[in-house]
Amino acid sequence: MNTISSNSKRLFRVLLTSRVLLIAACILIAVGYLLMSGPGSTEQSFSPDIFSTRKIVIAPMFCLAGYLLIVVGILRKG
Amino acid sequence: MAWLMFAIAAVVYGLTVEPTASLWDCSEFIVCGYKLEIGHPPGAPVFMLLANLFCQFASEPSQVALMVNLLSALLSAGCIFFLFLTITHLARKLVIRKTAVNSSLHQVITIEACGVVGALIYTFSDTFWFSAVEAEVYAFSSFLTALMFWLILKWEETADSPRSDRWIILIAYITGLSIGVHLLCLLCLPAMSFVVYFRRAKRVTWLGMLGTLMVGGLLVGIILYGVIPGVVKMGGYVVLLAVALVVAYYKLRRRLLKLSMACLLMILAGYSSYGVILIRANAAPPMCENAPSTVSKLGSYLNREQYGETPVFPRIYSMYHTKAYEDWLGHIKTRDGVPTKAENLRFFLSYQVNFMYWRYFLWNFVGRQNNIQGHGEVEHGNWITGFRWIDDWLLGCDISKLPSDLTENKGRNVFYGLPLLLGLLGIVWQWRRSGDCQSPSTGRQQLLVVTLLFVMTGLAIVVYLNQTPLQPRERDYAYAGSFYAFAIWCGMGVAMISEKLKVKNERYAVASAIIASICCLLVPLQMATQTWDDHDRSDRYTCRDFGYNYLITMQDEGNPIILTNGDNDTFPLWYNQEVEGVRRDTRVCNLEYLQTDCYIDQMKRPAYDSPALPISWSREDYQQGRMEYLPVDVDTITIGDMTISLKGKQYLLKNELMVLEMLSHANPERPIYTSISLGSDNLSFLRDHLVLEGLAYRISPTVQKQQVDVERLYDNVMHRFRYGGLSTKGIYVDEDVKHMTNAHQLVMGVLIDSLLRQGDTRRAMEVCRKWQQEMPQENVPYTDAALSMACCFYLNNLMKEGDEIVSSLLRRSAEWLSWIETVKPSRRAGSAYSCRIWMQTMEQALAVSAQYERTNIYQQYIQHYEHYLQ
Repeated sequence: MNTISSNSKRLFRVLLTSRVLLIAACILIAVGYLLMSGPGSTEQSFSPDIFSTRKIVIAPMFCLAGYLLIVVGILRKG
Repeated sequence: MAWLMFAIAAVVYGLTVEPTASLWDCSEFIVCGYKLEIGHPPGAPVFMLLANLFCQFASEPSQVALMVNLLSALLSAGCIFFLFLTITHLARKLVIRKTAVNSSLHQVITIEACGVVGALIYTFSDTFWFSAVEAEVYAFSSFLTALMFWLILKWEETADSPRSDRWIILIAYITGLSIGVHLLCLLCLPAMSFVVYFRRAKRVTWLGMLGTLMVGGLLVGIILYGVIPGVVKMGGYVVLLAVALVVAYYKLRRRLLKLSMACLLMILAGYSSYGVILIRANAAPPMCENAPSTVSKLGSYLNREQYGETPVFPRIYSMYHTKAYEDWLGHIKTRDGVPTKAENLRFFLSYQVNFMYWRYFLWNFVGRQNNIQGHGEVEHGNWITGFRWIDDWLLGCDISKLPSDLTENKGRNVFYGLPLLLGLLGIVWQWRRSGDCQSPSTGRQQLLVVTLLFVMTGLAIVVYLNQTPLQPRERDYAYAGSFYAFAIWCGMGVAMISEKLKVKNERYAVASAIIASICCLLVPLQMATQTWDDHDRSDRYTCRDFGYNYLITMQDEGNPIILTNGDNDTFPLWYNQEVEGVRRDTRVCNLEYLQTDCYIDQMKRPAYDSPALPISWSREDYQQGRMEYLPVDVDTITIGDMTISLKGKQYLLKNELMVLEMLSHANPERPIYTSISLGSDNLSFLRDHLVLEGLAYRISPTVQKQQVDVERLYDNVMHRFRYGGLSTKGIYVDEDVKHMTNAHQLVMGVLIDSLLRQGDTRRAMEVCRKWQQEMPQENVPYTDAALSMACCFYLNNLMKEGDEIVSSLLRRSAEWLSWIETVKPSRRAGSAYSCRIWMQTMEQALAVSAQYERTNIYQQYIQHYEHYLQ
């Protein structure tokens, strides 16, 4: 019992090191930009999909979370 | 205590925040945040991401604007939070001697009071409050500046620990992010480099300081002219650069090199936010200014190439403003056709430095005459002290005779110069405090750092911008950073007063500290009593509703198009369409942008329910550099049934060609409108083919002389228009809103006249009632358009109500004219315009009173009129 909790504590510490956090942040940002991209409107037709929830709600949240996580990453040890 | 300051600022800004979109760029920024569309260069992707998050808290689209405004309010409160921490940090170093182990109670009180007074002065100052209650990037950039400045002080505290580097890296990251908000934040870097130098240098030397100054300047230069355009030029290779930096970080052993690698990497990380702009521009949303959809286009977007280059020398450079320069300077001495160096200097000092910087500075710390934009006139937007004899002398007029329009102007704020005095004391104290501390020059070092912040975010911007006269709006918002620096000194002033009091009664040190603090606290409280009424935007829906009125003016069928020109008749329309979904069947087409090829591209695309605009030109024909203008060699051109006179026109610009192109292709079912605020110079050749229907004219091929469509106008004014809560008691109508209400007054006056001409007094009376109900005089003072209403009342035998309008206009014009007489002759030329306007009003009002035989009123004012006529 005790070893499990100390193990998970160690795992936790490793997961929250600066390096890991920074990499995670970069991934979040990249995912955000991927979710944001897609085909646009053209001269022939207006595409309402450019304002889909995926593109203008979820994607920017991923990006923002990533950019904020970088701050945490910088301030943490490791 | 810092959190208390945050709470106070948050509550103040929360109470006074505008509940919907505001004028100028705010509508645009809200659309940028809510739907991730592309605003004007150089864009603000980080602002967009954060604003987008706040938009999610809105329960319905009409709440979106409020949420973005609240973001500004919170960020501004955050700025106040860091201001408090900064002031107390700096003050603590000077108040508490290093030899002392414990700080005594009176010292603690003094330090806290410094922070509270400085923070509150900035909270209630004019410029900062203005940006805090609307959706602009200035609140965010102030926040980041304050944060960065505080972080460097944080580093200073812990510089000896090996982990202190993370603060520097964090600052670098925020610098990178701040590019995606506003470049203003970069300007605090030189001041910060001095903090580092003073902390690290073993011995402070002049040479070292000179070096630091150069390094600081170089940092700004490298980011501004190296990193920002450089990264874009590299395109995809940026990824390689980033990888190389990571590798270098791990390979390098020297701490300084390692640190700079990390910093550069973090700047890039922050700067990567521009991915939002690139990706969203590729989606081609309806609002996509300059369409930065490729890396090279993003480069020119970031460089703001659209606005053209502004040189640093000479100061008199714009050939479009030849007359404006002359109006400002009087006679300009020239050599070989160009103004001499002395004249350039005179312009720089008198206009750019004095009028466009110190005036704004003094607004915030001494007092402001009114909220009317000034171009050097005695009556518009000067700084004042509040002491009559000083102001009389400053302005060269008799303040006691000021017209009630100006004395009742909510933008009139007087602080009697108290905040300025406090700030100056703070400077003196910082300077003098150096001698008696253990570390001999802490005070002077602080002074240098704050001064550098003050100069870089103030006068340095003045040098960089090289503004011409006749700016479209007041520019004080750009200098908020330097007012921040001065607020630090205002806080320090408290310590000086407290110290002087203490010296007199050493025995009652605590009591004297408390007395000094309370006295100084009165200064920001007095400021709040002055500035509250002209920053309280609660209950005001004018910007949203007036934008709505432009759109709703157009007929319901046929996907109409409206041609607009300025910011305020375009952005609020976009806001209505994009955020609230109003009239998406119509299309807004801004003539200024129609000069650029990427905007024409957008117009050729359908948007929501509006089909593409009828432009058949191919991209090769209108791309940049082609058909910018076309010489005109004919007197008239014929489009369908319409013969358009081009008399006196030497050439047609690209946007005018586009309008003609649209007219020739638009079928009669798809009407084109021009906004009422277009100005007489724009599309003047269509003047005779316009039909007034509301806030816009319909271009009609069959009409030969300007007309009014009475039925449609009546329907719009009575049933379709919204009036933005102008009937709410105590609502703040600032000068820009007033301009828009005047357009409504004008239209209503025309409608009443037309109805009376038809003999339809019943409906004319209805319009009068609507006017008085929706735009009551106490909120929206009558313009001379209200005389139509007076006529209508007289015709209906409502003599008292008619008299009220006529005599109020006459009284106000008499007040204005008699005051202008007190202006000293050398400055009276500037008031010529006001004088002419009020003479006209008086003349028209007298004519109405004569026509309806209102002898009493007529007799009362006719002598005035004849007197001023001479």
